[in-house]
Amino acid sequence: MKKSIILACFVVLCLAQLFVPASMIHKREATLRHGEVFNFKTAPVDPYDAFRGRYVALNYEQSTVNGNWSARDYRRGRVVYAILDRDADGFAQITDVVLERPADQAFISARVGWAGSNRLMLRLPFDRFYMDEFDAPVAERAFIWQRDREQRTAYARTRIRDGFGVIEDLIVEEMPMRDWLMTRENTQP
Amino acid sequence: MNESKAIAWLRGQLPGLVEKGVLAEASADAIRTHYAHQRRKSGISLALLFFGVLGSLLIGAGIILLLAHNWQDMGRPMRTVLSLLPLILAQVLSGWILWRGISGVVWRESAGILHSLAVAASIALIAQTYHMPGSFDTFLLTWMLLSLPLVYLHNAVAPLMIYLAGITSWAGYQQSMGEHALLYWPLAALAVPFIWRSVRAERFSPRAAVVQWCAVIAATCALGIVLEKGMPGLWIPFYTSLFAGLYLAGGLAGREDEVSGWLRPARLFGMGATLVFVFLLTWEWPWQSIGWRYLRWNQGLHTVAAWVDGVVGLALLVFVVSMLTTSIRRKRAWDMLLGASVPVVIVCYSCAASGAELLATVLMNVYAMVVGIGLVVQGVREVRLLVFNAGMIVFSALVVARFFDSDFSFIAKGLVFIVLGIAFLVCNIILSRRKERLS
Repeated sequence: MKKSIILACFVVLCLAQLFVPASMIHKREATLRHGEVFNFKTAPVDPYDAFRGRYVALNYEQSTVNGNWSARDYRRGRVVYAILDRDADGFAQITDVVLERPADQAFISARVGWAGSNRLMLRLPFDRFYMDEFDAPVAERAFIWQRDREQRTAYARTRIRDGFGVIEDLIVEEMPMRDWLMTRENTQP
Repeated sequence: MNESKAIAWLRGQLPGLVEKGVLAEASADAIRTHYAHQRRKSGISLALLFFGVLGSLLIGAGIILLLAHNWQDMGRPMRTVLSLLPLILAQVLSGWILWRGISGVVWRESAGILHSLAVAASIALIAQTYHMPGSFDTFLLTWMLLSLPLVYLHNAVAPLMIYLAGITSWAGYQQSMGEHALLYWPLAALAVPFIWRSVRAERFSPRAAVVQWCAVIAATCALGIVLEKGMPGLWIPFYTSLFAGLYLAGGLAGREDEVSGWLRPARLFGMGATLVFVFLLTWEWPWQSIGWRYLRWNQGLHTVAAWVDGVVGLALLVFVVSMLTTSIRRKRAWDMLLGASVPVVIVCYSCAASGAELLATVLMNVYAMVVGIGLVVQGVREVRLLVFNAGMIVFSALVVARFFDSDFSFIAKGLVFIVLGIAFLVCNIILSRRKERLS
């Protein structure tokens, strides 16, 4: 192959390789700047990803929705749209799950985990909160300890825009997780 | 005879040739110096290549691990810049190599690995910075697609290994999550032109061998993973066709006596895998609960993927039939011994699917016995120790396996082991002596 063609192909490849991460960054930055805030109650546990490091995995009470769901329409892995609202405490709640993209309601795109006769489990697009490799296991232990003894709640503060959601922070006792961990370290003997 | 053996042979002949006056002492020395230099050079290149590839792998993996630590104190904008930095540096290195037209294999392979891992590091760090969900499949797929062109641009084998391992892992992940992995075949097809070109350029070179080993191992892993398995037991004729097809195709490449086995991966792997597979099929368990009576429709089956299984099966059949007919046309009679595994397995599968599992098992045992004896005969007639020993191993393994299935006494079992051992030793000694006499 001629050198000029190889170099041209290489430049195209480099642009594609930069475009993919750049578009990932742009979409999330736009959501974080302009998205609406929704707080999802959660319970973190600490797993590990070989490439991306340690994170706390987040399970949401809201990811299970009651109702009559057709297993044919809501088959595993299908993209659906969860209509969002807030409960009396201000936490996000899913009021309905539809197959068509809603026009004038706040919603989040999610995938169907499984559909039972009267319950639907959704895979919400923010199931991980990455942390420092030393902080993540401490966070998990501290959270389990807190939850069992004092029933404190934690929630993921998310920004949602056009059905796309990004986690802004993980909040425990109305404090970002990192600050909360530092407070605990300072107050515990 | 391979190159190093040929050089050793030539060096051994030199004193005799000088003694008989065929060659002057000075010429003999010149030949010695020439080949010594060549051997040293190839040794140094191999060492350089090995350490270059290893170094790049370690550096790339180290960068990924450093980024995985999660430097959360840095803040989002800084980490965003940091996430693109390894990629840009790798692009500059790759660009410099392509711009300068550097053709050194160590440079190209090392740059290919570093660049490929830099793509992974970059995507992973952005995923970490923005707490992206755990879609490992999307991550792998994006990484592989953005790295594949490096294989072609650098003409490098190491990024091909990463690519094949990556798409195979992707397929495995998809299947484990209850999804289908249909995209695997087009993804694999994207690497075929490179594999084809590498093999065509220098068929029996170490580079072509490495490429082929990667391809056959990836194909073997992927076939089992990607199959939707709508009809239980389809893996049996599929794998038999793949292994027998590789064996036959490897035989058609020729130069069997001149080139060592590892430089002909299709032949060596095809033969070994067919023998192991045929041996496994002599048990009854693979033939139980298979075939059209056990179709698993409506049990999480992906219909399109199930149909694609049929297309893959048909393609494998066409491949193996074309190899068989070419082998017959070229009068490669001995190749039919293992080539026949495909029709035999199809007959056995039909029997088992119709409920005659025992008949399928018996037929397979008879065939395995024929293969074992056939290879022994071929090995003796053609004075080829590898073929002879392969036949002996199949034969002995079959006898031993059936022996353990049955209720023979320990004395009888012990005697059979001793007889088989003696047969192995005596036949090998006789064959080695015959080979020495012939050479």
